[in-house]
Amino acid sequence: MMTSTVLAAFAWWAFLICAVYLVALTVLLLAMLVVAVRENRLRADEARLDDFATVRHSPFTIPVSIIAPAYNEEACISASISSLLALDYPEYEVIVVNDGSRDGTFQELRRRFELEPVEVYPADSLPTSEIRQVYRSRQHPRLTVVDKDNGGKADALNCGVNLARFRYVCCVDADTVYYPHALLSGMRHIVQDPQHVVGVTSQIALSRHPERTPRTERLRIDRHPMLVFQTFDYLRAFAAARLAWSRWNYMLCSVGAFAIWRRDIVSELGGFSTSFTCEDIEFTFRVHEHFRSTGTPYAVLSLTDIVGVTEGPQSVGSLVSQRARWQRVIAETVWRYRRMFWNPTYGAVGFAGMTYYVVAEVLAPLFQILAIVAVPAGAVAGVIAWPDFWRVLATVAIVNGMFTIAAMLLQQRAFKTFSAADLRYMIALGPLELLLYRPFIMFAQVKGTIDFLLRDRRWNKFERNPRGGVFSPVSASRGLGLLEQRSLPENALPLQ
Amino acid sequence: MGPLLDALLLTAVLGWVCLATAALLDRARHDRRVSRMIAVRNRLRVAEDGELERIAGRLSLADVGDLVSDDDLPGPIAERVAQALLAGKNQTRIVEMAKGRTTTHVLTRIRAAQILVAARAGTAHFVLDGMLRSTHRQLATGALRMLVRLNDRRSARLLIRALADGVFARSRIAAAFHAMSVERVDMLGTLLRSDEAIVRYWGARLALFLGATQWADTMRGLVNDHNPLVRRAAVEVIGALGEERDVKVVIELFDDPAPAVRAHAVRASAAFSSPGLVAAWRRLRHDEAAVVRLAASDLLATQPAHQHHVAPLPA
Repeated sequence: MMTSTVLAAFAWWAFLICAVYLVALTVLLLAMLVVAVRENRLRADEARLDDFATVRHSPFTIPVSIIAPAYNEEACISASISSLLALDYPEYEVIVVNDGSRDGTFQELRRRFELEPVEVYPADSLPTSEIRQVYRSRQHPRLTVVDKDNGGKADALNCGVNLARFRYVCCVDADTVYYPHALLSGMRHIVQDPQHVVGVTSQIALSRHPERTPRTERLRIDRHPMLVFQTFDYLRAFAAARLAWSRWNYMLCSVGAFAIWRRDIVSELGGFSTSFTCEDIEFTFRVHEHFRSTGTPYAVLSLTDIVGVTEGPQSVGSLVSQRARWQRVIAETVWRYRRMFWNPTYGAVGFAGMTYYVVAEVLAPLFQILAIVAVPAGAVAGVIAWPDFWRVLATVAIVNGMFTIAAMLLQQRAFKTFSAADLRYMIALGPLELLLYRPFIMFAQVKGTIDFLLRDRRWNKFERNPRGGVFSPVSASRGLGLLEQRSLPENALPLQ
Repeated sequence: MGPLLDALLLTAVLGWVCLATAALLDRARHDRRVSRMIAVRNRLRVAEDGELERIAGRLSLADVGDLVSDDDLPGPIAERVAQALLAGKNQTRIVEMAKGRTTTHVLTRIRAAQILVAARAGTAHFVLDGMLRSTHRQLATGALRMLVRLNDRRSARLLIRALADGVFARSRIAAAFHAMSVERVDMLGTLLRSDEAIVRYWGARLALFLGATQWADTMRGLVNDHNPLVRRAAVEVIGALGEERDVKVVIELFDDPAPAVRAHAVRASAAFSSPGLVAAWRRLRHDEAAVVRLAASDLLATQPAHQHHVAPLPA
C-alpha cells in the first residue's frame, strides 16, 4: 500500500514536470518558428533577386579554399570530390586531406585524379600531425591532395587551413555529394557583406547512397522511412530553428558537411580543436565567444538552401551511434562554454542560444528518462487513465507533425524543394515520427549523455549503408525517387 | 480531464489538417503560376502588334515584373510589355512605387524598378542609383542586377561612383561593372586617381580584367604607391600588359617589404623573359614568406629546363 502511494506520487510529479517541460519546449519552438518565418522570407527574396549570372562568372567573386578531410571514405570519395570539382563558382581550390585512412581512400584518389607529388610550403600557423606527401592532380589543377598521418578530423582540417591559399575556407565532408550551386549559395551572403559575415553554413539532404545522386537535377527525397524521419529532423533544425538563430545572430551550430569560415579567424582562434569529438559545433561556439567578448560586429548565418546530399544512416544501430555522438558533443561543448550561459557579455548567444541548448538538448534525456520511468510506475500504482494517456500521446505526435509541416512549408516557400508527391508522402508520415522514430533518438540521447559523463571521446563513425550491384542512374532514380527533370535559367539557383 | 484532452486532440488534428492543406495548396499554387507564366511568355513571343499590348494590359505588376526580369523573354518584347504597362498614368505610379514612396515592400519596389528598366524609362537610372545607395542589401543587389541589364555608359558611371563611395560591397559593384559590355575603360580614371587606397586598388583590379592598356602609365606610377594593396594590384596589371621595358619595375618589387606584393611580382614576372629572372625566382624559393616561396616554386615548376626533383617533405 505504502509502495503504491509512493509510486502514485512519483508518477504524478513526474508527469507534471514532464508536461511543464513539454509546454515550455513547445513555446520555445513556436517562438523560433515565428522568427524563422520572417527570416525565411528575407532569404527567399534575396535568393530570387541576386544576380547569380554575374557572380558565377566574375573574377571579382571572392575565391574560396575547400577543405575535405577524408578518413576511410573509399566508397564515396570519388563522387564527392568530382562534385566539388564541378562546382559552379569562378575561383576555388579543393584540398583533400587523407587523414591516414586504412582503406583504399588514397589509392582511389590517386587512380581517379592522376595525382603527382609536388613541393609545397604550408603555413605553419596551426600544428598538425605529420604530412607524408602533397600531391596535385594532373587532370584538375584545382585539386590538391595531402596524405598525412591520422590525427582526427579537426587535425585534418587544420592541415588544410595551413595549405589554403584563399581568404575563405569551406569545410566539407568527403562522404557528401555537392550540388553545383553549393558554393555560390553559401558565398552569396559573404560576397554581399564581407565585412560582417564571418561564417555560413547550409542544409544538407540525406540519402542512403549520395554517390548515386544526380547532381544536375532537382532534389527528390529518399523515401526510406528512416531517411524521411531524419529529413524531418534536418528540416526542423534548418528551416525553423537555425533561421531564427541566424536572425538574432546566435547561430551556434555550423554543419561539419558545409561550413564556410574566414581563414584568418580560424587561424587567429587556434584552428579546429582536436580535444573535442566533433570540431564543428565547438568552433562555432568559439567564434561567437571571440566576437561577443571583443565587441566586434559579426554574423554567422545558417541557410536553408540544400547544398548537397550526404549519407544518412539506414539502420537503427547506425542511427543511434551517430545521434549518441551528436548528443555527447553538444554536452561537451555546452559544458566547456558554460560561462556564456545567461552572461550579459554574450548577449543573445548567452541568453537565447545557450538556454535553447541547455533546455532542449542537454537536459532532454533527463526528462525523457523521467517520462519513461513514470509510465510503468503510474501503471503499477493504477493512476494512469489509459484512454487519457493515448489522447495525450496522439496530441503530442500530431503537434510534432505540425512543426514538421511548418518547417516543410517554410522550405517550400523559399525554394520549392519538394515535389507534390514527396510533400504528400512526408505529410502523411509526420505524425508517425513520435512512435516509430523518436524512441531511438531518445535512447541515443540518453546513451550520448552517459558517454559524456563517462568522458568517452571516440568518434563512433556509423557503419556505411550496404552498397551492392552496379550503379545505373535510371535504376537509382527509380529506386530512390531522386529524379525530377528541370531546366534552369542562367540566373537561377537549382531548388528555387 | 477527458473533454479537455479531447478538445486538445481535436485542435491539434485541425491544426495539422490546416497546415498540411496550406503546404499542398502552396505547392499547387506555385506550379499553377509557373505554368501560367510559361503560357503567357509563349503567347507574348508570337503575339502580333496590338495583341501584345492587350495581353500585357491584363497582367499584374508582379506578373510583368517577373516576365521582364526573366531572360527567357527577348529584350524587345520585354521592352514593349513594360512600355504597355507604363502607358497612361501608370508611369508616375510605378516610379513612386520604385522609389519607395507608396510602398515599403522591397520586392514590390524591385518589380516596379524592373518594369522601368525593361521599358528603358528615363527615370530608371535615378531610381536605381537611389536603390543602390539605400544601404538595404536586397535593394542594392537588385539595383546592381538591373544596371548590368541596362548596360549603358550612364549605368557604368553610376557604378563607378558607387564603387568610389563604397555604398555596397565593392567586390559586387566591381563584378557588375565588369559584367557590362559597353565601352567604359576610360571611366577608371576616377578610381585610379582617388585619394582612398582601397578605391585605387579596385581601379587597378578592374583595369587588369578589362585589359586597360590606356592606363599603363598610371599603373607604372601605382607600383610605387604607399599602400601595398595598390602596389600588388598594379604589378598584376604590369604583368598582364607584358611590356619588356617593365621587367625592371617588376624585379624591383621582388624586394618589396610586403610579402603579398613580392608574391604578385613573382607571378607577374612570368610574362617576361629576362635572363636574370630564373635566378631571382630561385632566390625567392627561400623567401621568409610561404606565399612568396609558393609563387616562386610554382613558376620554376613551369620552366622545362629547370624542373626540380620533388622529394617528400621533411619530418
